[in-house]
Amino acid sequence: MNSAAHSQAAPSKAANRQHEAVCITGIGAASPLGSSLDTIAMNLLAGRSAVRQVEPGAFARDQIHFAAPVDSIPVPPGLDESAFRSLGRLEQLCLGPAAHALADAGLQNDRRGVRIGVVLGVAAEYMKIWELDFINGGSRVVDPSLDALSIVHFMQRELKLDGPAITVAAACASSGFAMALGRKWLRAGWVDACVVGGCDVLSPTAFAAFHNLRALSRRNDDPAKASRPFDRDRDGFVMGEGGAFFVLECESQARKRGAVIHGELAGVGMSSDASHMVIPSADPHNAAQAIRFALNDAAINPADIDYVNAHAAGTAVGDVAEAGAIRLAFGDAGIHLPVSSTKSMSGHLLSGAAAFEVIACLAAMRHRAIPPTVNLDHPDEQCPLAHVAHTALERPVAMAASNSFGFGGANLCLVIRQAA
Amino acid sequence: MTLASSETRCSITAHAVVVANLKRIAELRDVPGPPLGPQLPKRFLRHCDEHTIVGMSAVLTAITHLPAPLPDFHSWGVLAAPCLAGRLLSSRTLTLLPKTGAAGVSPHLIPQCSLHAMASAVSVGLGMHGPNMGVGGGPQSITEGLLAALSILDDPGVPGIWLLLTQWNEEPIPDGLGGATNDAVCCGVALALVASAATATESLNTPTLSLRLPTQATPPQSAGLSFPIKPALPIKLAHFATQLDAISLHRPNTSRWLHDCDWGAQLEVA
Repeated sequence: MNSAAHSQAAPSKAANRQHEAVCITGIGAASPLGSSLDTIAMNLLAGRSAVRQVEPGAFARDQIHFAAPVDSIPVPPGLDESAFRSLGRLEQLCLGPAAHALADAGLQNDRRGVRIGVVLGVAAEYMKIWELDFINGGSRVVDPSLDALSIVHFMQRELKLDGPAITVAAACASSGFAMALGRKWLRAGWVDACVVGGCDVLSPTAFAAFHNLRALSRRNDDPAKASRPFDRDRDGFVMGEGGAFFVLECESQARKRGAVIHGELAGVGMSSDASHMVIPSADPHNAAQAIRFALNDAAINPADIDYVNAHAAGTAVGDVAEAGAIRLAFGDAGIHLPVSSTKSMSGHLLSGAAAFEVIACLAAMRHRAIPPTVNLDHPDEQCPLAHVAHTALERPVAMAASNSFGFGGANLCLVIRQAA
Repeated sequence: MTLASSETRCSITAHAVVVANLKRIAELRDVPGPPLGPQLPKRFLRHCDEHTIVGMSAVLTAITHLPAPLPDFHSWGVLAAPCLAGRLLSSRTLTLLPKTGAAGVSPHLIPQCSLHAMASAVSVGLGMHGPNMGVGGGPQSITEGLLAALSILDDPGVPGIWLLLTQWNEEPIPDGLGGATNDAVCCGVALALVASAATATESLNTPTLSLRLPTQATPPQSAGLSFPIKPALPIKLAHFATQLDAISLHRPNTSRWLHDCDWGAQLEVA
């Protein structure tokens, strides 16, 4: 927190945390490529695509027939399976991975006075809930008296968290903004630990709305080849679902607890294009600014980054804009900097994408190999980057940057440092 | 493990309240702000959700309340916390879906009605390049918006933040065609927030928003001993707006608005 924004009288554990490393001590996921770091890493590094034919629902049947769905959402430890399965899909996709992250951090039961907050990144919670309810014959959208507690407060209650709970949304960067906010809460001393992340769910109107925006790939005949970021033959993104959650803690507390540290959220940068509600700005300066802010926040130079996990979803305009931002932000260091888009395999997890792609960065660090952009047969000349195409690149990764961009011009870059 | 007692605060350098029913919102869609304030590109709001129109109108009005010279908003951030936005278009979409199929789903549904949409519209419409994000979305949106604003004011290069809060006084009952069967009224509040005033005089003249953390450490516990925590009652935005007006108009004074968060912290405007 800015010193001026803090009370002079405030004593200060909070002040002591201003510059402390914020670590990832718990991981949970429900994604098209698996639910654990090891499974996701294995699939990403093998270049496996999770995109396949799906039944998109009666109302979208005439349009898109493929996506990257989550096949199985693990039941959270300690929860009754039938009760969990009776929840809505969005609730399951949030609660399950968040509970697993807490258990992974060793904070499922033994809290020892640790105040835990939760920041959920989800872009259109009530619209999704109304829609899924309507499809099942419900009337929540037309009967406001049926509106329930938001999911983040449901999570707070179910996970027995005693800190603040909020939802944030920055479209396809939502879960990354949630991570950014959780880090701020830790450094401000509001919480001792924070569950952060986000997810999304496939739905017929989302299929239809993105299709009608001409944002989705239309390769119905070849789903596994449909997601092709940076390729000159790309024709839009592929919808995915799921996401990831983490437990963040300040390093001193994590070490005191003896927690396993998976990595550090070392830097965060945010900016806005202020250009258009849908289309990314062709001017790369604002997206590059978010990358620069993140590098500065991590107190590192562009040359210190070993890998960039690009947002690149496979849209015509977005991939070119991001390539320009990467080149601008990294300068000469960017010429040989390995870049890949794991959306080529996972599809675009929308609200959950940013958090899922942090897992991709952690996978690269753990396995000393960079996941590829599959389907990158003919790199677009307008995206002149050091692409990792088709197969993983064996190389140690100590520091990675992960970009996320959303509708409305929201730009985010997260810098992840390998655990010491 | 304990947390020290501390306070986070910021100054409210301007605010405005806009209250509008659906008929008035239709007018604001074309002319959202005062004639002497900043102007948006023509038809900029034509596809926006009702919350965005009311929120945008509140920002444009609040800008005219700021003392000259106006700050440069280029690097300001925008946070927007609409409560249950998107209901009317969602209802229309779902009602028509069985007849129109996917082809009838508006491409504006996601970019204009999702939780981020109001913040993005202000960022795009007024050229603000700081972070923009939506907050809340549900019944606790107002509390969530205030918390998020207080936690993001330290972002590098962000001199200030617009916080927009919107809520229907009474939720609209959708007619399935994009309108409502009741005379729903939407309240919007825009707050210009900057890091706390540097001088005592400034702070006397400017209301502050603050968060006081719980003074008691979280007791050692195993999960479950003190749960479920009792959710705080949602803030009524119309009440908050009335209090804010009173606090701002009669300065310096001792009146204040207080809200006890469910996790033991307290929000205050004074």
